[in-house]
Amino acid sequence: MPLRLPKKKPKRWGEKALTLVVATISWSMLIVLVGVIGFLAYQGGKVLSWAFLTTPMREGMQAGGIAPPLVGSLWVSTLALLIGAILGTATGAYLSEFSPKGRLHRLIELLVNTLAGVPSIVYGLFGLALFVVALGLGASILSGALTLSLLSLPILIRNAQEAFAGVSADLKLTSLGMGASPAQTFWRITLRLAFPRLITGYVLAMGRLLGETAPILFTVAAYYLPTYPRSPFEPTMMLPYHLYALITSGTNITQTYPMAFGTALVLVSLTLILTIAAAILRFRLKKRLHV
Amino acid sequence: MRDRLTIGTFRASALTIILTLAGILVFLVREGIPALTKKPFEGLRFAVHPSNPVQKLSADQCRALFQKNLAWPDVGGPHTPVLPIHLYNLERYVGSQATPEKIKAFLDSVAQVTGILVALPPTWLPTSLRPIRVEWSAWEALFGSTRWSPTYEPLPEVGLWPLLLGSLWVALLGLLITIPLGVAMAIYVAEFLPRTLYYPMKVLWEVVAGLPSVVVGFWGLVVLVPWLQKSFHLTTGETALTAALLLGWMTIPLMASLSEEALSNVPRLLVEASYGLGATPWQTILRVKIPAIRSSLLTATLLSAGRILGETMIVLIVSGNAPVLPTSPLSPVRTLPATLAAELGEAPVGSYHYHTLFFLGLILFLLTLAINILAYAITPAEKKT
Repeated sequence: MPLRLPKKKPKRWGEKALTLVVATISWSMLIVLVGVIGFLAYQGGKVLSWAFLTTPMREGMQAGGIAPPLVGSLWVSTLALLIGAILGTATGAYLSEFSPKGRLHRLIELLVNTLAGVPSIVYGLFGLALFVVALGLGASILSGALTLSLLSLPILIRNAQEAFAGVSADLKLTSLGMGASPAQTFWRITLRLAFPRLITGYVLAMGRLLGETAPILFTVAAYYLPTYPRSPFEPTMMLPYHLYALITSGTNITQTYPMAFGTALVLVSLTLILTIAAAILRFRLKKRLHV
Repeated sequence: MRDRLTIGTFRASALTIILTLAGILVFLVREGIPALTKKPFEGLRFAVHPSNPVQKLSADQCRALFQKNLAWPDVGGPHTPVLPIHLYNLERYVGSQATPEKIKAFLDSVAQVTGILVALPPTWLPTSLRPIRVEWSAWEALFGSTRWSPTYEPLPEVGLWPLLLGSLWVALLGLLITIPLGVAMAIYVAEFLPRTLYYPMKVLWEVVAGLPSVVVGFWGLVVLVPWLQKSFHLTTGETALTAALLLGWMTIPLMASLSEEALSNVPRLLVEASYGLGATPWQTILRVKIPAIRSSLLTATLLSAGRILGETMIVLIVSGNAPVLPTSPLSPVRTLPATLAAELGEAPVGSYHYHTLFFLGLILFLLTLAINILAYAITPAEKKT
């Protein structure tokens, strides 16, 4: 009796349908994202110009540009990143390279994980109570930057840990074997090789910091202050809060909307550029390291 | 020597993490606990006409008298209408530029009215009035009431339930979106996506997760809110559902990437055994892989819940901000973080309102802390890096 094989592979319509469903869901995320950004780009593009980026606002925020909040945001985020990067990288180095893997190590790791889940508004409260009120810094660039730097610590620590752990153990051992001390090995070998990855993390963190609103509400952001900050002890306007102010407390919402679209477009472009830049950097690194 | 310096510095900076968390806890407790121990009317004295037999009032009774929702006979007082006088309605009687003498003269004259009820600083109190006691139980005010109007004078209402339940309601609705969509995306990426598209998809997730929430909230306000209003014929499109849709969407990447990682790490042995038994790819996914990653899915759910609970700006912009108990997905809500963001800027430092908001912050912090520690605790030991 001849062996009878099925003529065709069974079609399994159910399986195909399920696959189609998950594929549709996955790609619809892209569609929504393009929809959101496209809408903002279309509406914001109408007001976007060089003058919009470089002049202060006029007529009670209904006209003019967004230079003061733009400058303020860059000031605060850069300062926050500077503080956060130093603390975060050092902590990451300690956890990855130097700490005895004991109880303290596990406690710090648990705390890093926990801090990553603390809502950003809680950092805002903490910043208000500690920096603004208790330390008397007032609502200032410094208060805001310190608050944001604490917020960015968990991402920066994890990034640094991964960056240092990613440096080949062979190289570290070779260095130690040649008589270099652990600190020498760290400064001369590990840090240098981990550098590109660290930078990637800083870029990503900067993107996040620029968009944070809740922590700056009470620690730095001014509602209306069309001047440029001259010292870190002054308050300043910032982009996210400026956008919030434009859409919620304007006296004439329809007139401030074009400004709001412009501000939103600038804000979203900044974070988008930084996030994608970090992704490209990481992709190129990955390729290089696989060689 | 240089070694010790390097390592010592690094260790010191690692300890700042402990300090940060301890600091957050200490400051939230320090500024939040006075909400339980202080009274909102510490600088005020309540007093009535000497002929009024009332000796003490509960805070609710007193507030109702001020609002004229209760009359004196309801609390055992005289059969006369209530004449409430406090710092904020005084101006209506004497004008905004009254001299202290004029105010005093006015107060002395109204002190003759039998139905008077005043709440004033001790120095302003007319001497002919008899002070009464108003009882305030912080516990009852915070947890026994469902009304939130913290700036009402002279007796604010600080019932936490509308805010707490509002937060939980939005989180629940958000999770209903995040979990199925997140898991579906994880399945697609882990099982069906061509490898060349893997990295771009991850970048897409990163971009979505990294969008500034104030921008997403703004988009929701101008696009989603009018659309929902029209399609559900609502009086306002600013509802719990609006916030949940946006929050759910923004949290999908977190849920998806954690689930995807877990799916990719299901032991090969299990998968091959399943295929060997003749199972189809989807049978393997649904009957073998998903059950195998149950604990990771729970962790991912918890972390997503924490993220949604803490998100501030989106809710503040699109959820309507009405501090009422949520009854349906289409009712406006106000959450804990949104309340903090909206009100802390206006609360004078050290006031009862300020302390109450820090108390809310403390609750929010402890809630997310508990969620995170729980998520960490149920993660299998080998995955804790």
